[in-house]
Amino acid sequence: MNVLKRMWRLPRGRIGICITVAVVLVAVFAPLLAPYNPYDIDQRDARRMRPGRGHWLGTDAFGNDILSKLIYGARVSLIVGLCTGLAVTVVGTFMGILAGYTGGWVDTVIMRACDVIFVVPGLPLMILLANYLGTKFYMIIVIFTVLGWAGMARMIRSQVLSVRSRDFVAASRSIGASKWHIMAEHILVSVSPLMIVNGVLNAAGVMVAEAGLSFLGFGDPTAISWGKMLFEAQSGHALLFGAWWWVVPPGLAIFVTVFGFMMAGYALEEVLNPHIPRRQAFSAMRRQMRKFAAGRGTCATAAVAGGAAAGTGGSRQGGVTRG
Amino acid sequence: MGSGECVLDVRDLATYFFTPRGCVRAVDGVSFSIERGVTLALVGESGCGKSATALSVMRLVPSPPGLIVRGSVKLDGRELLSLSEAEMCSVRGGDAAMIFQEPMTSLNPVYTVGAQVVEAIMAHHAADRRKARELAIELLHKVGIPSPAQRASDYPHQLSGGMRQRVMIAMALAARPKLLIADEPTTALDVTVQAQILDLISSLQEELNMAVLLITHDFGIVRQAADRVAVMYAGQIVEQGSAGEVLNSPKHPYTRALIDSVPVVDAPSGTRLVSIDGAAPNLLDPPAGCRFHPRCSRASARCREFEPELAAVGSDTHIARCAAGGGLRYDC
Amino acid sequence: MTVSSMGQPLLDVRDLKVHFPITSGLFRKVVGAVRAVDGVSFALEPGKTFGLAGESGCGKTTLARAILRLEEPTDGKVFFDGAEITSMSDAQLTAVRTGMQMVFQDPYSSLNPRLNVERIVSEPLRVHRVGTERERHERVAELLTTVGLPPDAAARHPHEFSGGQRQRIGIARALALRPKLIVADEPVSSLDVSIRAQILNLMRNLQDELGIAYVFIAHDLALVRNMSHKVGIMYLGHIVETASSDELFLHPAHPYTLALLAAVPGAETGGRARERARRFAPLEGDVPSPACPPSGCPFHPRCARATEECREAGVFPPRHELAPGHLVWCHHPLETE
Repeated sequence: MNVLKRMWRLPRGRIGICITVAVVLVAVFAPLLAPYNPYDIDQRDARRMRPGRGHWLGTDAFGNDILSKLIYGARVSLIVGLCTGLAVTVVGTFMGILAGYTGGWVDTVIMRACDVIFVVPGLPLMILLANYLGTKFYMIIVIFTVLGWAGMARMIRSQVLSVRSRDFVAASRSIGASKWHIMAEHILVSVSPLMIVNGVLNAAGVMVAEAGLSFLGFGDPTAISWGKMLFEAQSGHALLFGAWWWVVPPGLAIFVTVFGFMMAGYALEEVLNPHIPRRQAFSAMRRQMRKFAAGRGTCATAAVAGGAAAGTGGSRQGGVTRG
Repeated sequence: MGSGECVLDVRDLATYFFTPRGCVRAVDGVSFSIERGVTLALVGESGCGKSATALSVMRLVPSPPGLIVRGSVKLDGRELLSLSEAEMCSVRGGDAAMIFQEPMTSLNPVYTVGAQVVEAIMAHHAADRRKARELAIELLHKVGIPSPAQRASDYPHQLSGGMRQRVMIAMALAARPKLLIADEPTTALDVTVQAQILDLISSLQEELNMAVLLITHDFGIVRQAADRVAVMYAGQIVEQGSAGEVLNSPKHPYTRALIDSVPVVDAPSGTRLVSIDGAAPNLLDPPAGCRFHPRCSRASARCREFEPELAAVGSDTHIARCAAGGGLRYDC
Repeated sequence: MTVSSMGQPLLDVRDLKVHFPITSGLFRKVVGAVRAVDGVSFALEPGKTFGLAGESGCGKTTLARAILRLEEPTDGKVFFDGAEITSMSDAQLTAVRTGMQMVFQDPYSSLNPRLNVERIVSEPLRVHRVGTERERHERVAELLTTVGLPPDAAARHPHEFSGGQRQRIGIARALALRPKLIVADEPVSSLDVSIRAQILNLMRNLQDELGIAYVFIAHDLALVRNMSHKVGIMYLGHIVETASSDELFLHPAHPYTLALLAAVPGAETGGRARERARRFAPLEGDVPSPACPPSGCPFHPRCARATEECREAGVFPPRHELAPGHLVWCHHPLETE
């Protein structure tokens, strides 16, 4: 809770939280919000209608209401994004901790598996797997997880390697703690900020990838998603008809949602790793310094509001003097 | 002692750091001067402002967040605080040079040490590269590096910590500075190497007749290397005097406690150490009155209200910032 | 001396060696070894302090970690409370580990920044399943009081404390299982001068009250003399001289001990041994790498008294017992008057 509160204090955190909450609400309450049933083909014989009364975002080539499709599409994007993000985080973290802390042949095997996944070209493999395993959205989650855990595992492993050499791990070993105790008590809490932040960013990335896969026609054919809407727009020659309302709403929806997740992710990173200097804190400092140099401020008024301690970075120039 | 010719004169220097939490008065009205051939040791614990003082003298305080808010720093009569950045650049490594605690981070790992000394020479002398290289090898020889011609083509990581510090000293001395600032020059080194480096600094000081500002937390080093001592606490100098005066008859309770809290190698095993309670104050909000009063066993109501000034105690060169003035008498 | 009157030593280290392999190439072929600890023996009675002093790279930290089996010894034996721990399995070791604990040099790295003090201090209790949740909570409060911290510190995180307070937390953790031995690796060297005495006095009080034995490691000779009953001087993985603390500092016999003493800055206060030390030539050069130590006596390249005998390959200098308990490994020990 504290984390959310501190995220809310950052502008990007606020944007991220607002967008994410809004998209989730839209997805959950889709049946209540959507004016029409998006699966209901040939609605009142209203094909390719321009945006206007009745159909605020117009209709597609089959007469489906674009707004309703957009609202329902949030469900697939979110489910695929969140589930994959979660699965990748769990699998990647487990593998990363195991590889990093255990070392030896376990490390070698896991890291070689990662290498294999890295060198295999992602998109063709995805298409191949989608063809074999089917294109149900849970299969898409499985495919993304299989391809996505390696990056997470590698990142977590490198963090584990640096945490492992810290004295508190030696301290824990010296009191007789088992390997599993150390991994759970010390390693996991140390990598958790990295894990959470990358999980969120990963979810955003997967949403884009899901849209891409659907756009290529490999999405779940029975579910409406924003990627599939773009695919339909493409196959229905939207640009030929000048039907911008087929393209812009789903594109914008993807952009805004991913943007919101990224902002939330970056804000989370800033909150969980307070060592990153805060830009606005620095600019406030500069203002106070200038005021002081001009002889207007006093030390007491120079106290700048703001929670996190900032590093003492900055350029190495000579100080400004008043004399 | 030196010839009395003042090389560095610092008056009422104050450097504040503007952090998100508020204004840290790292250096708050520090005055001292160093004559030619004299070593002044600036002693204090971490966070007392001794390094910030040194960086302020060289105008190397990172800005932001740091700002020299008042005072004067005169090097050989020249006011450094009003120089332009370009003029200041020729002073750094020219008339005033500085060496740091960790020589590994101060040397560039991708150049050979020879190239870095050559660079330091050429920055201040219009010499051609061949001449500069000869000079560099001579300098490396002078700072006690064995077979300097070969070592010059080594990279910093190939040298030991002591050798790296010698290279730093060679670079600092390239322009025959009038002032050498040594910021904890031996803290990262072993005790036998520390002795070598301290000897080197003092023999070079004699040869070049430099003023040395030695920053340290170790009274043993002070005893060995310093002519005069200034003890800093919470951004201020609390006691200043000749090394003998300050070490043998400290007049400020903090100096006294600091000296007594450090075990001496000649004292028998099991000697009880005097400990100072509490921790150094937060400079965001230093205590009112005397800054040492919350930790001082002799503090009175007066100490909590009035900030004492530096006043002469005993001899005219020995000053201390204590409400008890020169009246502090110790049993021994 | 009191060596024999105390009976069985609490800790007995016999000819302990820790070598780290140097590997090279794709297949990690072993091409050599860093002899970090190369045959160290000493014994420590209950409730006493053994001080280990030496320059960086002399192997004192590795020795400390090997005693606790945080590093696996290559050879040699360690007896703790009569039991040989070097050959124990991990499971057997867990039980022994309640009796020996470690205090680390860096109070920033040795406390997990993401856990609160309660979790940090109670970790040993939880690992060994001591008491109920409630009892552990009470024990933590008791431990914090013992080391001079307010009991409400339990709910806070390490970053809210200063270096000295953090080191107190580290000591509280080490005390949790009521150990008989604490290995303290440079416990005050990262602390401020005025804070050091607080921690040293705390450690000494704990020894007086709880009868804890310390292996006290430091590079500062004054500190080692002050804190220890017995002292060993280490050089390149060997103890070159050992004696009771005052004996060693008043009558140093190994040229290296003398050189170390001479190098301690602040010579005005020199005692008689220091007078002698200063007459002795100051030490030149650096400590050689433990990956390729000099043959014969490891100190001979820096020693003013070295002879052909000292350089002879493969022969470590013989042991001389100059006084009861005062051992020196040198061909030409300095005469003690």
